[in-house]
Amino acid sequence: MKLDRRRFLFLSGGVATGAATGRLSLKAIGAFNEALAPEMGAFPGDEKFADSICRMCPGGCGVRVRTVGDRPVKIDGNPLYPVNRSGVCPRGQALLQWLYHPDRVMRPQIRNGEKGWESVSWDKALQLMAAKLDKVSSAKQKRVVAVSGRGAGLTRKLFARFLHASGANMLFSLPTGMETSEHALQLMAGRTNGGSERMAYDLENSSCVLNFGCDLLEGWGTPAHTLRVFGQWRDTNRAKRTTLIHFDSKLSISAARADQWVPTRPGTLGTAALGIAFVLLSENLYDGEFVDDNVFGFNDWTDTAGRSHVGFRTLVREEYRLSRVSELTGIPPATLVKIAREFAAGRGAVAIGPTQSPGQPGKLSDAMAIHSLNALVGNIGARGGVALVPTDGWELPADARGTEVTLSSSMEALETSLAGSPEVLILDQAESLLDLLSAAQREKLRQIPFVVTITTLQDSTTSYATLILPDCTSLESWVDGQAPTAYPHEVLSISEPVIAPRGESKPFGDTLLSLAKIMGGSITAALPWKDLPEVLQASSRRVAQNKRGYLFGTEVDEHWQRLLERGGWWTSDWTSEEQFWTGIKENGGWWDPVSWAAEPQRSFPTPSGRFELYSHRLEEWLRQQGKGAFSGTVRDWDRQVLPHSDEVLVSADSERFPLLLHPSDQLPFFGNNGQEIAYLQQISSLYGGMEWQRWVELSPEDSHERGIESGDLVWVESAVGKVRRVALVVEGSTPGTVIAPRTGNPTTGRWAVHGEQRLADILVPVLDPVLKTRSSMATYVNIYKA
Amino acid sequence: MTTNIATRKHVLMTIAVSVALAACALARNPDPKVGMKVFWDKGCIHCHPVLGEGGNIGPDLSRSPSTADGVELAAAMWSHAPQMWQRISQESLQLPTFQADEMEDLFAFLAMARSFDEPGNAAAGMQLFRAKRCVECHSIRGQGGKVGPDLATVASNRNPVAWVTAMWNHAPGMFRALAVKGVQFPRFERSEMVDLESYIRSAAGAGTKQQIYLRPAAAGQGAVLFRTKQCIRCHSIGAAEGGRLGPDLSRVALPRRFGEIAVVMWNHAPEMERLVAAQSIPYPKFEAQELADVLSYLNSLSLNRPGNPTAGAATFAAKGCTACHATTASGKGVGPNLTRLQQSLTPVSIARMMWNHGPAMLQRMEKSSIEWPAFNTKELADTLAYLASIQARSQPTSQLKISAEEP
Repeated sequence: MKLDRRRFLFLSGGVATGAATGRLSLKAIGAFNEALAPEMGAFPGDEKFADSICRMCPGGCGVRVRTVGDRPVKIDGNPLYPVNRSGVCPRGQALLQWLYHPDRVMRPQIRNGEKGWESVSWDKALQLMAAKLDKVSSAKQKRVVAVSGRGAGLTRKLFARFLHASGANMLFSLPTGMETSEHALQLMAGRTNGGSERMAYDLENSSCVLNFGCDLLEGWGTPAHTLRVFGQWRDTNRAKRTTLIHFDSKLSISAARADQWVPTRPGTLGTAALGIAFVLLSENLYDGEFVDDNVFGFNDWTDTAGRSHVGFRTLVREEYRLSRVSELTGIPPATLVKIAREFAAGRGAVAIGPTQSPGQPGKLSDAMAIHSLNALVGNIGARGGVALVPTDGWELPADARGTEVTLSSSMEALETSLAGSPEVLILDQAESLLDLLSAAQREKLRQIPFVVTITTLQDSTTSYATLILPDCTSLESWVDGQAPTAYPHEVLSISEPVIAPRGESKPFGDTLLSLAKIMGGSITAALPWKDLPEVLQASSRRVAQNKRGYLFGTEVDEHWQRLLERGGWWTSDWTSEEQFWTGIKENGGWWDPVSWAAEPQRSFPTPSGRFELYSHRLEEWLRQQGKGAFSGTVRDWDRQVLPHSDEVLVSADSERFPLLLHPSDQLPFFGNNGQEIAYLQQISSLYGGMEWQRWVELSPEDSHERGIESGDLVWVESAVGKVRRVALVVEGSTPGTVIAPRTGNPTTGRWAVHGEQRLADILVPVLDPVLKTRSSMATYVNIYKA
Repeated sequence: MTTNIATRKHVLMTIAVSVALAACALARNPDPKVGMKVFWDKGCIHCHPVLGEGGNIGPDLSRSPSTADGVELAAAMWSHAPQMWQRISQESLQLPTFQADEMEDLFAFLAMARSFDEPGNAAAGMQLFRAKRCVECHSIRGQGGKVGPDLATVASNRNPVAWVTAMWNHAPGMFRALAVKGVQFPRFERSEMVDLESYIRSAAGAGTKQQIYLRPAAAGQGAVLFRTKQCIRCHSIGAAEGGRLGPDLSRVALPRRFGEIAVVMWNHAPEMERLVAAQSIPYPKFEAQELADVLSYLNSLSLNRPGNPTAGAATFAAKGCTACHATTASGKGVGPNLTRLQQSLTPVSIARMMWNHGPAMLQRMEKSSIEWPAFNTKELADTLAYLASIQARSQPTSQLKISAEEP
């Protein structure tokens, strides 16, 4: 029913009059409700609200689902969920598009030669998979490769345990983009708890943020939380507005919305950070107390063998003079000086980066250079700073014996495994993997005899599959959540299904438990639980024993809790494990809003007991890597261990390839997936008319030089290949730099765009010399009319 | 005449006590958490921060020295009300009004916030750790003296009271160790104990998982413990009961914050040990939660700020209140007759009445070119005592007795 103003007034007047005279009819109420909520006419039944967790990206925000007649019709943010507090990003809005997608995989399917896909029963599908795994396991050749694009949580842990029990040795999780920065911080600040900490930023309390290339507004960390923090930074009611300074070569949305965009030559983010460090040292702006008492490797030092080593101060002052840094980065010296002074002006300044996107984790040397800035202003573990915090998520219950395979996000390790002729490949929500592999590597996947894909939709992984196991969306299953990437507080969340699974789809956690039962023996013993709720309830007992934290509550509750805890007080929301289980289901989760340390960290689990600018663990690592026979001087060796700036781009023939191509991430496809969802495709273009197309952005100067205009079809060619794109001339973009979206159109399903080449096919990744991670940060290309 | 005055004073005192007892008997327990919600919902937080969180227009109500207790807060509200209303209007904010329960809860919330310690300054704590020579006996993660325990083992304590409890309980042993080493007993000031705790926690590298908290302290339970732990044998609480060896704790101006009260307690440990030993009273040891409750009880005692009704009468007249308000049952004025108020006059109730009716009162005063009267804390306490006395005088004694006997 269409509701125009006249009809609204008529209806509301009628309802009001009816109510006043006591002659209000049910029909009138029904008409009024139907007018306000058309779905109520379409789907008979009551309007209800249920809370759930969005799984459109690994962030896992809390959502509130409006249902009419038990049919979800609207998604909003859950105001009780501390990570996003009512906020929801465009991906979250698309959750219903995912749920109702016409290409949902509704039942298990098996590829039957030329006949194509054939539906099979769950029993048959699981029997087949169990038999295959059993056979491979008996051969003891560890020829099972498993990749999961699923965020951290119980299901991934169940998967890791299942793999261990069935003879695999590793689960590859797709990179979040934070790995390199996290690794750098672990090398410098040390690791406890067996290295299970994750890196987190206390951005809500940061006073000044130096952002080295992170596209904060296009999917960084957890989008809804990042957007919320961004809003807080600009809140005029706060005592001090947070200053955001963005270093990057491209004029992204984040750059445009920052207080200052500092155009920086590609590949020189670490150099820029060391230029800032130079000013801090030269003008004595660093935190002398923290550095003197808690930092190792700052000054020149002598080791136990009597060898003299150069300290960070000397290295920076001699090798990163402003004139040199300015020449390398393109940043004027005066700009570096001004930024350094602002960075050191007060407590709560933090440097983040480099880049931190799944396809561009950045280089270790850059990450260490950026963390050195955090150490120089003494904000390690401090309010507004950066720290390693425990990764306490949901744990598998202790009532079963078993262990989990190692989790790795190293693309190098994955490629090595794929090159080892695996018998079985299991792809769990791993669509984004395909954007990280080259065309040749993707082709090798087709040679694997048995490929199982666990997916909700027909996506690009299904074209490689032998067996498809239909998964559920988060609205159709029990979901667990935990603190997302870079989030500073511990969070454990839970939600019950909002609706029954569509078709015969089944939550992957339950699939694993069923599979374990079929396989018997030690596998059953390792995963003895009936279903996910049983696992969650058993796991919740450990959390209930914590004498800290609270069940989710309102924002006022949060402030109350912070107030209590900062004074050293705590009130318990539960008195028994049963009460905790009931409470956590009703409120949606448990969290500890004060898990960020109140004091700056002054003790570090490193060999020196200090924050190490000269990382002993990195030194040991380099020696193990065979660099112990390094023939240079001690100073050359020190330069490798101390924060420094490496050459980061693969050089190319500058005449053939004069432009630098930056792949850009887009919020609708955060995590490199979701291409099959039409709504996300429709909103993916910042520029009207580019939806369902893939484009390349050029500066007016570069386009003019090549005779290219907006809308022209052009070839973008690198040393390894070429792709066709639509040209888009963007005023204000940097000459010499071109930008293209990393994610493309769907390759399968009803909205597939066939024949489109992936951007990954022309990118020349840079290999980190220490971590061996690949980063497709920029590639030399040429562009010409197609 | 002297007898008459004495008798009259006695009667007035009896009435005042009866009124107070009746008020206590009928009083609800204000809920500070609800008070915090009031603080948010009414928009107070838009202008005033509490412990640093909130707007920046007005002062931080947990830190400003002029709002340390209920009377001070009420006096500050009263005196600055016209400026606050003006600013609220400038900011286009809605002027909130308060129900009696809401203002009680709000005051309870602010009282609680003021009792909470600020996060310590670890750098200052490090200086203290050296200057007070703690480092000669105690180590942190193996670095330091070996006489006392390694303080990393207690770094998980998040509450300063828990720290003081641990120190208090081992104080007698510590006195002996100090004497052997010839080190002076370390005394602290204000928030130094919190700074020290902050340093030890950061130096010990206590992970976020290792945090031990106390439950919010209960003054009532503290009152019981004050007796069962035999504190009462040395300290009196008013004239009614208690020993005379230590000071009357209802008359000592204790700091507001728990960590600072704990410092006062710590500083008198050597003297107390000597005195209790002389009296054969066992040295009292506490669980951390017990000590928190006792400190909460002492905190509640020091919140009492008795006024002088005679001085209050003079203030009332000097501020020009008598121009509008009658103070005898038959008197008349532009404003309400203050002998006929239906509620007891407390800092909370006067703050509420002033806030809700003040704008109209200010308008009338401006029309009559009367200046808004400002009260300092003592003046307000005295005025409240005076108004309570005339209110009590005007009520039938029988009614008061009945009220006092109610459970």
